[in-house]
Amino acid sequence: MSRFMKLLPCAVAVSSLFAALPASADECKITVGRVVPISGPLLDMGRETPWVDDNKVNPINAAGGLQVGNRKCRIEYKIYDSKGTMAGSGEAATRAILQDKVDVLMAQGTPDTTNAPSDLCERYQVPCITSDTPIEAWLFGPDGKPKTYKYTFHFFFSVPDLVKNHVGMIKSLPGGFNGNIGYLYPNDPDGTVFASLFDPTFKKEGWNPVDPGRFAQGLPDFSAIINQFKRNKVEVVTGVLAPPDLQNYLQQAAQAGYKPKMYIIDKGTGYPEPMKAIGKNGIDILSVNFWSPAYPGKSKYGGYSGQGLVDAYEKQNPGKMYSPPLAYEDASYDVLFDALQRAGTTDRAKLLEALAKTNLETVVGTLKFNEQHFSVTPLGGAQWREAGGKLVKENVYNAVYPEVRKTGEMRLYQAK
Amino acid sequence: MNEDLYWMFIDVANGLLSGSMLGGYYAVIAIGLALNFGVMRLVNLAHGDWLILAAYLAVAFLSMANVSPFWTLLLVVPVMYVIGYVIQRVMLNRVSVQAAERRGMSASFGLMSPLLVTFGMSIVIGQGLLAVFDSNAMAIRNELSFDAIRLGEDLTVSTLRLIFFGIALLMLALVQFFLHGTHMGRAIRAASDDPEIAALMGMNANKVYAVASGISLATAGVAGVMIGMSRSFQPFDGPTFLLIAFGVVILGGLGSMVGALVGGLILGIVQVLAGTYFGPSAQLVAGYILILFVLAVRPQGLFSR
Repeated sequence: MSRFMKLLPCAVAVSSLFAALPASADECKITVGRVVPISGPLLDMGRETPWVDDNKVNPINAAGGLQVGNRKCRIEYKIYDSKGTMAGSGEAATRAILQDKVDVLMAQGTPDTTNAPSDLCERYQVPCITSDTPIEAWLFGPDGKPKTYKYTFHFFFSVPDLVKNHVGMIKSLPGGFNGNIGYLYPNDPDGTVFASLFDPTFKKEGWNPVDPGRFAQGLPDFSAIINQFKRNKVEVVTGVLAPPDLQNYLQQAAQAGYKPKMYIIDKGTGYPEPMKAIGKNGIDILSVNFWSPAYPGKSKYGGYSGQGLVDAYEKQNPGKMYSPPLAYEDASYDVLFDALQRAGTTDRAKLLEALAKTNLETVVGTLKFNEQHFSVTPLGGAQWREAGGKLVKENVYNAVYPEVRKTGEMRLYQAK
Repeated sequence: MNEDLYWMFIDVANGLLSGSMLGGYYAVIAIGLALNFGVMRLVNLAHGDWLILAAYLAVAFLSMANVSPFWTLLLVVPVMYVIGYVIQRVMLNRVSVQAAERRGMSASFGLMSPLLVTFGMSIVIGQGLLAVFDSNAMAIRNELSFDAIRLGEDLTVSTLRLIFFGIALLMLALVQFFLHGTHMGRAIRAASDDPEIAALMGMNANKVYAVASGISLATAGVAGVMIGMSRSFQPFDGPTFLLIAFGVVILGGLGSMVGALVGGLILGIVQVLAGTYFGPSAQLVAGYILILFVLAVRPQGLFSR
């Protein structure tokens, strides 16, 4: 059992303690079910959950609750572990909705955690706020058609933006690019989707892909792939790799003396813990920046900017570095609180109406849901750096969303 | 044309070289399992998890003392030996084939119950590691993991893997010497060949098995440190290594120490060559096909006693 599981009963106990206080005549409370991965393969995405909840909810409850209409409403939350799987998140959402009868559901962290809860919210007509899953992966059903959401609202970056971002980063490579681009796409859902997405785009740019093919996760030996890259004078290597594969590949590339001008690798590179384990050969790797303090916007409930949120987190969790879900979870609470206040009541229909009319500045940018119930958030190009023995994620490319501040200049991969 | 020829040579040379190095690494992972299998007829399903536990032990030790990771062996190996000895004494000896016979239970109980017990142990170790170390990916940081010995512009040998290869040879030689050249080693083999006669000769089979199990886990300690130095690991990574060890043991033959080395080498070389000529997706598949082939043609393994 992870540390967070142990924290869970405390969180519940604290919130029920508040609920047990003598209530005023018009008692009002809102229960929020939080479906997040706190164990399993996606744990890195749920790491900050308990802290965000405390940071956001405790001050409001300490002030007597959130002002909704003429009443003060206490916020109660409970964490449900999605276990990082489709089945686990469905089970967690079912428990929250049917057994604990939560008023609102919030789910974060890849399609495996957001999609089943979204579908269940639609079925049981529960308002739901989701994020941390690319828009298209949430919007499109298995039949390839966009789903119609009535109760669920979603925000994150969109795939066309991601493609534009990566192509733009390659084009702005310092010193130019010879057009030879190597693929590291494993044989998993991410790998196959990325390959089908990027391969035609790169070819359209007139580049020459060097594709060793889809490989199994946990591949023991990369030397054949590395020799293929060397032979074809590959200058840019791109892929989606889980942390152990990324580390194994980087070690073997370093041993073979292979150093391309640039790596653009997603997945393992989004979170600080795996990057710490990889060490100095992870420095200078580019990836999508799906959140950093360089994002514009301020939280309405808390008054802090992204930097303020990160500072508070890192101060209260010494030695830890923030990871992007922190901001999306913070923004999810802001969306809910704002909609509740505008609705002026906890009535579900009114709350849904208010959610649809959201136009709110948050730490992930301004959120405004369209008629398909989603809001596209900005993205940028991140590069890992080291400063004073600490990992730093710099935003080095912002042509797609100039409002995401550049915090550093892109440079070539230079680890030994 | 010349360049094609050059790359043809590189492909073959790299296949043999990287494959052998990978094979040495596989052999170290498999020695403990081969020993368990060969001596006690015990299929230790927790073998992979013991490796990961050893890797975590090394990390914990390094967080207290900032020394070269190789020094951790001085602590990890004895600790693993003690764990192996105690586990065998208090747990596995009670569920072994011999114990089942003593209690007059059918031999299939003796085969099944250690499987179940070690499977349960595997889960307990994984969960225990998660509780203590969290699920953060860990690695044993070392300067060597990015180093290589350059034989040519496009032909290199990983320094770390070369060291592991040396360790594999050394460990196999030691275990082989122990089994054949020492009193305890002969006792272990006697107990494995005929436990009843060995007992009649005044041998304490339970103690002998405990020593063998301790040595098995001691080699797992070396393997764990080695794994940690070459890649990052998480609490539930054990089964992956169990699978590798099984492959090696099946190829080389149950309980044969030389077989563990040869099995590892064959598996490593076949994987790398398959990856070179049929694309990386063929790498792992080729290994499994080879294992199936050997199982079909020579189920006792290539070097079975």
